[in-house]
Amino acid sequence: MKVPVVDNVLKLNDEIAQSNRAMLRASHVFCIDLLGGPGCGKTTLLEATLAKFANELRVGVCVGDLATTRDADRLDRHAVQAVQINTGRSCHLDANQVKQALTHLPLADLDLLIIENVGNLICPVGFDLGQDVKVGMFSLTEGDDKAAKHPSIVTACDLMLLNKMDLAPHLTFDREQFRDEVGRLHPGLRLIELSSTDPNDAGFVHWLNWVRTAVQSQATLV
Amino acid sequence: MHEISIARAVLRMVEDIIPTGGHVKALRLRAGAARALEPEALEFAWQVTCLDSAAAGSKLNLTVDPWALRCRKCGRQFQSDDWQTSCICGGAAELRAADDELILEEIDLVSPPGQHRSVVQGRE
Repeated sequence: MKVPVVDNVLKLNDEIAQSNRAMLRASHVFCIDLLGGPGCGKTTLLEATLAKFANELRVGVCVGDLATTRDADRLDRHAVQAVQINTGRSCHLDANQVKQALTHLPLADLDLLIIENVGNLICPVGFDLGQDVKVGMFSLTEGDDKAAKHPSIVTACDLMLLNKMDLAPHLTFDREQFRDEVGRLHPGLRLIELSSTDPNDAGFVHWLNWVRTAVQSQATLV
Repeated sequence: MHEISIARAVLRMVEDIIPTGGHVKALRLRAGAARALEPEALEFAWQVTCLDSAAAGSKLNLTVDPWALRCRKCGRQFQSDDWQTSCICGGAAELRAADDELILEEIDLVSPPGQHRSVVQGRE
């Protein structure tokens, strides 16, 4: 007996994500889901970003890792609150884990929530968490073929960062090819090349401005 | 690894739908190319996940839709399993849309044993 169903498999996750989104909107918190491979510089970017925003925006952070609280420890100095989610054996965050994390965050005292997803270029992409935007991150040391090899992260994100530009003189990374492939996978996607270890780097300043603009647009939405 | 999460979500959904005593023989799923799912990897995750359930041993048939592409040179629209496929005119293609749907389309059920018996008795 064949039973037709035709329903979204991730319906439950997506429903929780929608309720997270509604909760964040109600508190006027803009939410970024930061995605990238292990070692691309997600935590370092957040450390630098939080330090810059210290007297400007109230930022909460939620970090996903299989194990340890090292990222939360690193970010706790600058954030209003940093919550570590240990996923155990899971390679990505899901909406329910974020829902639990939200209960540990003082949403009324935040302007921005950044969720640093588990370092992985594949698995986290397909799970809605309730974020406003997904920001994808690659770095020069990973190689110029990573966008082409991981098309889903490029198609899913609203902004792409290419980190570790300060290492460009020491590496053979075909930036033209990388830009072309990102552009073909996601026509019109904004790509910011930056070095998050240099607070005066022009790309890093672009990133900060992008975040500022996004947070302001959310604040004026409600 | 995200195949395990997907398999669990499928099982939760299947268990909500099938009648008590029913057993699942096969399932049909469809995924967009942007979902990054490998049929073999998902089938393996499914076999592990559905053990000890009403779907134990069932076959999960996943169809992955191709990428929707547009040639940057001549504008022709076409589809391919590889997003880097060039157009027949030789031009490079870009994505028209990134389909990340994941839909459970059909469950193939074996009727509960009770129903089987009543059919056999009816014949007698």
